[in-house]
Amino acid sequence: MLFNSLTFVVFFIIILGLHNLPFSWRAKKTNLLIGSYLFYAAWNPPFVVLLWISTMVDWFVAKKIYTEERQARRRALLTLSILVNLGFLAFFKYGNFMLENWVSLMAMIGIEWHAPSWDIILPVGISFYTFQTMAYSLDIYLKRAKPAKSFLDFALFVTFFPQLVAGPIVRPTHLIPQFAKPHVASLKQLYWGISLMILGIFQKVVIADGLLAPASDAVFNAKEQVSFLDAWLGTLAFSGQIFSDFAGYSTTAIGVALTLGFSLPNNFRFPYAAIGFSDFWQRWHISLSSWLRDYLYIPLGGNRKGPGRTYVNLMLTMLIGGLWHGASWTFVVWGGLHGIYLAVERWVSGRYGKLPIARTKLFQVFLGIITYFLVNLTWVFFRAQDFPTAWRMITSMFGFAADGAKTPLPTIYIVEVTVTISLMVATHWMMRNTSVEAVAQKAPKWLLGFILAAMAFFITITQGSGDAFIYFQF
Amino acid sequence: MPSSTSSSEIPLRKIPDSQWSSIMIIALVVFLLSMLGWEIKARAMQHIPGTYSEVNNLEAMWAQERRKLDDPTNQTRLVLLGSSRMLWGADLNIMEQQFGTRPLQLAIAGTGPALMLKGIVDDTDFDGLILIGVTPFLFNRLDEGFLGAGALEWYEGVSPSKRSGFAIEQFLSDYFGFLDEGFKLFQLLDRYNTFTNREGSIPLEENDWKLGNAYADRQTDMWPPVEIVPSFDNTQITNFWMAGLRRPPETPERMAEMVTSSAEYFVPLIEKLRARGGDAVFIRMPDSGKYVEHVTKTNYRELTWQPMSEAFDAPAINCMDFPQLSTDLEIPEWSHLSRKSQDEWSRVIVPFVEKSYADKRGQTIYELMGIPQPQR
Repeated sequence: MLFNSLTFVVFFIIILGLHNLPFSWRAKKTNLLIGSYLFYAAWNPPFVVLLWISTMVDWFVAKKIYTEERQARRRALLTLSILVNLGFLAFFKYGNFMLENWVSLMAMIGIEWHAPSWDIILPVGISFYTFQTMAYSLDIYLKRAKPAKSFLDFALFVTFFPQLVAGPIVRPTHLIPQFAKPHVASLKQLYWGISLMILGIFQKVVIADGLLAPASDAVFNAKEQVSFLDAWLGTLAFSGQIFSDFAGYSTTAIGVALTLGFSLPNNFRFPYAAIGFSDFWQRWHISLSSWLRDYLYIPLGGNRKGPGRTYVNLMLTMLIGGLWHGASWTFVVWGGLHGIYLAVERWVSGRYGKLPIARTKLFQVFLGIITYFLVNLTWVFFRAQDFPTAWRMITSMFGFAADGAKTPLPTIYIVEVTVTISLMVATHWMMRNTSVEAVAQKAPKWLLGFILAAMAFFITITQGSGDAFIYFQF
Repeated sequence: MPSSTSSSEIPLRKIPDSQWSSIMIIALVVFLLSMLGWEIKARAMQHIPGTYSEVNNLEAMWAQERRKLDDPTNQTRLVLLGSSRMLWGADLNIMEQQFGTRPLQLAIAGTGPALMLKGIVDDTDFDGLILIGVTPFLFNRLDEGFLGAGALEWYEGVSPSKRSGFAIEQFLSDYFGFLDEGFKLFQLLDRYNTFTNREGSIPLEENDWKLGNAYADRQTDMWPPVEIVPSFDNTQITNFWMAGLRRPPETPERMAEMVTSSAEYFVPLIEKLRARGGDAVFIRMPDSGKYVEHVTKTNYRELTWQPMSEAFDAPAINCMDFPQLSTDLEIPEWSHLSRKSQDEWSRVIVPFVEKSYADKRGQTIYELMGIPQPQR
């Protein structure tokens, strides 16, 4: 079920109504659990079974790990949990990718083999809930947390519909305790939750799908090389689209949870005002980057095993992070570029970071511009459907477009992208060190009311075409 | 060790300390007033309630109608197939009155009837009459065309959320004109902006125009602004047709291939349909303006229509042979009938179908359909 659909409006009203009726806390949680399964089944009902298997395996394995003293048995149990979770992920998400690469590899050594067609449907949001459930078993294995006391609380943690399919990826220690005690939103929480939902859906429907996606699609779907201007506008449009799409989902998820009385963590903090790449990753998809840090980078040794190993760990983490996004080498390149950026930044800041010039405001702005420029280059690989397209885009962006390069963007798209991206980047810089909550608190009530009405109005008259959120496929 | 059940670590979200009740009242009032204004504007621009959006009509509603044939209790004796010309050509009420049975509208825009006919013949036990609209060259596309894939996807089963979304939208469309798909904000911006475009930019008019309104049972009528010649909305559509008409015309060799492949595809289907008591009549739908120029230039009648209808060995009517079925009618954007002409065509075509069928098969369509001939 999409947040930007009429079905969700009806679903949400029913869920909210049930949650505020005088049922016992257990009954309310059961309602939420059933609602969450319905939310997921609305795409493809059979895939709910995957959620059940994942829930059952991690519930029992984590309990066993907690009570087991022998290290070998604990490790075996953890391996079982990881095999089940990553097994689903590998089959559904990477099955075709691995098969294609295997066929290519065989062809390289002269073995011609045609794989049978393998038509696998990707269960929506599988990467998100897989990481979320794995975190539970890992936390218990690493003795960072105790198991949940109630199966219902744990099942709801795995399935909680606001963040089930596109995050934020929530830690067990954050969400399970909230299910242990009755939570119903206060009137202020309800209103602020609805405000966040309006803001999130506005980002998705109006900014991502309405203003930016058409330009991005026109450029990236062009079969031939496009001009310098079109390549840059298409890439900038995608940078804004992916942010508005994904941050829009997270904001809506946070808002929905809040209307039910639950607190979810922030997933974005104005990333296009980042100064450097470690700053960027503390602002972009925060729940994934912190997951990768805590469950991959640090267990690999982090920065504790010398400079050389630190760089290797960084690259490995970012390459896997890239592959997490999609079964394609273009995503690996995207992750690899971010790994290189982080490694270079680490090396440069270690050498020159203490120079007085590095702390001046002008230099920080310069770094911010460089960061934004380099992040945009990575988006080309993220968005392009293949390497030839990415290469054509990159050459155009560096001014090497062939004579007669295509100019697919109509003037209205050029205006829409230029105005939207300028406003977006300016907003990120203005909001760099503050939050939406802080700004809303200072705003006069008539202005807040007017802004909410305007956003709701534009959402309604845009009439989203029901486009799925980009991150659902990850 | 922190506990999964301890609440000591939960960072609670900050809620801005504002007068939320007042804010929400302001927001609601401004929102409702804005929506009222938008609805008035929509109706002023002839986007009226009670019509369903075109994509829903073309895909989801097609699937809804197609499923009626799968219902063992269905009484359908007459089915309409073809592309948009049959969709905009048929007035279902008038045809029901004239034929004595209500037709099931299964024509779909931008798509030849091949796959749809195959589905009916192979997957149902329908044994009535099928009127198959023939649009030059589009008819010979034996694939899912432009919208067939979406329609078949809806028919084969889309997600529960898509189905429920469609049902809710259908319900709301009865009350709100602004929900018309042709009145989406960004479609309006694309359609009505007056910027000069660079050479080579994608033509927005290819996506953002409105041709019709759809009602229950997929009754589809031309959108009134398109009937005015010349009007902005009419020109948008003829501009779109021109993009296709500028392509190199079909060669005699290509047309010969089309005839062969169409005969190979349709003849076995017609035979199978006839073997169980059903039958089909092919109707070459009328056109005007640049489309007539195009079919004249390519010699469509001699090189495609005649050899193809002979190969089909089925009753066939070429509307272009009869002024009352073509040149006497209004075809404001060269391809589809106006509302007034739709009524006229739906009435006048009936005796032609009766005669062509009786001449070819030696029985009446009413004997075939197993219904009494209506008194007219």
